[in-house]
Amino acid sequence: MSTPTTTAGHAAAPAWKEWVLTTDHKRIGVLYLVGSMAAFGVAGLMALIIRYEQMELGMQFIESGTEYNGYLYFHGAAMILAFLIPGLTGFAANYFLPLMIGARDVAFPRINAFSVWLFFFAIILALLSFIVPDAPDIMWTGYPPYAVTTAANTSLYVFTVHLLGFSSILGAVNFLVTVIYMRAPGMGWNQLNVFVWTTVAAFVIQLVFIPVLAAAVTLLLFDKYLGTHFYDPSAGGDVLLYQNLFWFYSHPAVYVIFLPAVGILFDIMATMAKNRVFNYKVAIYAGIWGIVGIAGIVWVHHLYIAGMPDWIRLGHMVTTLLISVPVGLLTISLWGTLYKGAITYNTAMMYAASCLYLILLGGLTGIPLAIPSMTLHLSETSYVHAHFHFIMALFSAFALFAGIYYWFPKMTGRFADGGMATFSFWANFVGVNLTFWPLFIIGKEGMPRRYWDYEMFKDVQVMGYSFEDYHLIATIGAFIIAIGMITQTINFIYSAFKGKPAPTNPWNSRSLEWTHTASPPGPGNFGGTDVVVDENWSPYEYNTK
Amino acid sequence: MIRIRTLLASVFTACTLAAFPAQAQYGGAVPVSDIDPTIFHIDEKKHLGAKVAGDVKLIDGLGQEFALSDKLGKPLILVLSYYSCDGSCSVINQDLNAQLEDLTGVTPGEDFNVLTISFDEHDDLASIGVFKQHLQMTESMNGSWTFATFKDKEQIKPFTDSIGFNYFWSPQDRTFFHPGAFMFLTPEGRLARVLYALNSAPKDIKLAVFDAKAGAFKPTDIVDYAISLCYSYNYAEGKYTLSIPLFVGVGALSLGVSSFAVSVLFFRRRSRGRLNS
Repeated sequence: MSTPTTTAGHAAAPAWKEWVLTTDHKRIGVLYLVGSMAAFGVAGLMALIIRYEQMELGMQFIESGTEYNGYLYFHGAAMILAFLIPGLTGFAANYFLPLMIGARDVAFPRINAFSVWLFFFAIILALLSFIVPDAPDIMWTGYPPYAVTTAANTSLYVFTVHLLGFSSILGAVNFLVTVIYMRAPGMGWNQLNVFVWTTVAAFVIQLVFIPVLAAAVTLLLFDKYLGTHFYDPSAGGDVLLYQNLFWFYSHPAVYVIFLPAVGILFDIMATMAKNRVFNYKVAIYAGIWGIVGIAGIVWVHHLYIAGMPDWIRLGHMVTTLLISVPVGLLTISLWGTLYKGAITYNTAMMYAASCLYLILLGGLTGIPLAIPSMTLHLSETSYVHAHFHFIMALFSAFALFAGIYYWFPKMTGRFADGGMATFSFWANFVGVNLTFWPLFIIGKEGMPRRYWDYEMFKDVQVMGYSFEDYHLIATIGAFIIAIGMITQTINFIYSAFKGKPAPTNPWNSRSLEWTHTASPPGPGNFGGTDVVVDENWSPYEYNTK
Repeated sequence: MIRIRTLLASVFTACTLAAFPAQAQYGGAVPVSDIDPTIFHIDEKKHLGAKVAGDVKLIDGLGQEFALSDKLGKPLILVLSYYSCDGSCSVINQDLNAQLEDLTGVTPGEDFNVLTISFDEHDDLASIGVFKQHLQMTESMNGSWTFATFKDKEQIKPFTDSIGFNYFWSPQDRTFFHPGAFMFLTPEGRLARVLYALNSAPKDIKLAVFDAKAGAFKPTDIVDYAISLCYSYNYAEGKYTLSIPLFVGVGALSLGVSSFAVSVLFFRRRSRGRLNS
């Protein structure tokens, strides 16, 4: 048996070593995808446990409130910090952004490799929660004083945030420099894919805001383990300041997730509808950058019930409502892109289309939460829980799945579409509606978030049904999602090896990742010829009349 | 500063003089105090946000009746003392007087009112006059600071209890034991902050007034308001201290941006190096 050799005649490195030591942005993207999907799987399992526990009144499965808090912690932290953000800005940006701008790699490939391994270390650290006897039980928010006084291991949370934050900062720096300096010759700013714009915007937000979260949790660590009192009011600290610092990053983090998800939708919809992006410049400069501009001045709506001067509440109500304007502009552009289009309805497009429903529902249900007088009633109820799942978690996860189906032929040379894909889409779509609609209804009636039981509501009826009935429906929905996700995962794995072979550009896209690269793209992305575009080139050059 | 020293010297002298009878009584041995020290503090956890009875009737030094609510509508510094006190009351009020004179940015009478009420049912117009004379207040302060007694003696205890102000009469010492507190009420009459005499500085008074304003400020106050956000109240020390997490958070804002700037410089230098080679 001969030893594989490289073209230079050296012995080829074993496959595992090539992956571990890779600096290729595409492989790093795949590593992010694998890691984020693994985190999604475990976080999803936690969600099933949470839902199963709430299915009936009383104790079902969980033995203590602390244990329940532990599941909530992992679900929230893993979904946001280890699945959505790395899935969208790690996987999608790493794999496709350099291809879209005609770059052979990113500006700092080694730093890129370092950041993916920081991400994996963070996941390992988070997974330690299942091994250590005193797992973190502080949600993904880590609010003091509980995070300081709890016997649980807050340091795991803090170090996970540090690693993910550092990884994100490195990624942000890398991709911003890449887009600014490594675009293909001739490619102007108004010729970029919307996904590139949204990713740049997301990285700007990460770069500016994430160090604030890192600083906030570091001081939390000091309070818990070094005996400082940064957040202890009895000794001169300010407990509410933590919440302000936390949400100063964590609300913009919603847009770190939301924006790349919207970018993916634009690219899919333009391609599948064979239309130019409707109102491209408005979407970019007013929509995307409008969100970035306002993202940093809306965080206080998370703290409306914490006590503050009315004018601050009023100001943040205005800014929170105002951010619906750029979001609305992006939504109009998405609908406009489909208008009179020759739409191909494949799995990617079905996921993308369902996002239009999710963004509408999530957006509209957010309006009451922007208004202080209504938030006083709805705050900390499962209404909020349902709202942010629709607008952030479900919208972005569906957009990411749309992206995976859309780019699957590029990554593997094979289609992932088929019966299993269609079945899993409908299972997921039906499941999310069954899970979260009931939570809106009982949340409006006062069902608290984060409670493991609801004995106090056992006699309350909403439209003739008890809270328990609604929880039962939600739990059935969650298990339907689980069936959909398992089917989808099997489909991805099967299709990657045995799927129907796809041509290089199966969707007839005009974007560089489809027109100028093989499937999957080789080292250097574009073979021996550098990509050059002319001033009339556009990634959405479909109907040029 | 000189005034604070004078006040401290007065307290020291009063304590020294008080020690002579104690020396005679206890023969040099230090007596073990059985006074619960918590009486000198207001339990802020319990009483911050408590609303005082605005309709309580008071009588000022001119014998005119008014309701507490007449002094509200803007922040109110409330001092509970008694006018026949020959101990700490004059020190407490003199300390406040000294601090208000050194105050900048907020003006008594314009931005807030000051009200001293006696919780001693025996106080009357005459004792108010003697007490005020003893304080030697400036004319401007005189106009914005009201000294009063309760009209209805039955209202004294419920009123003081409502904001956690505890006191008791010691027959042995022939004095009231009570906190030396400056209580800052919001324009609606809710307890917003408590500072203690001889433990606070004009800066603390100003920040407490901002706290009591509950976020309302004039456009000209915007710098002062922004500065006030840099401080947080330290319950252990009873004064305001710089909010370090805020500075750390704001400082952290520059971390990402500066790392981006360094990366751009590094990338450009590397690109130039490649071109030159």
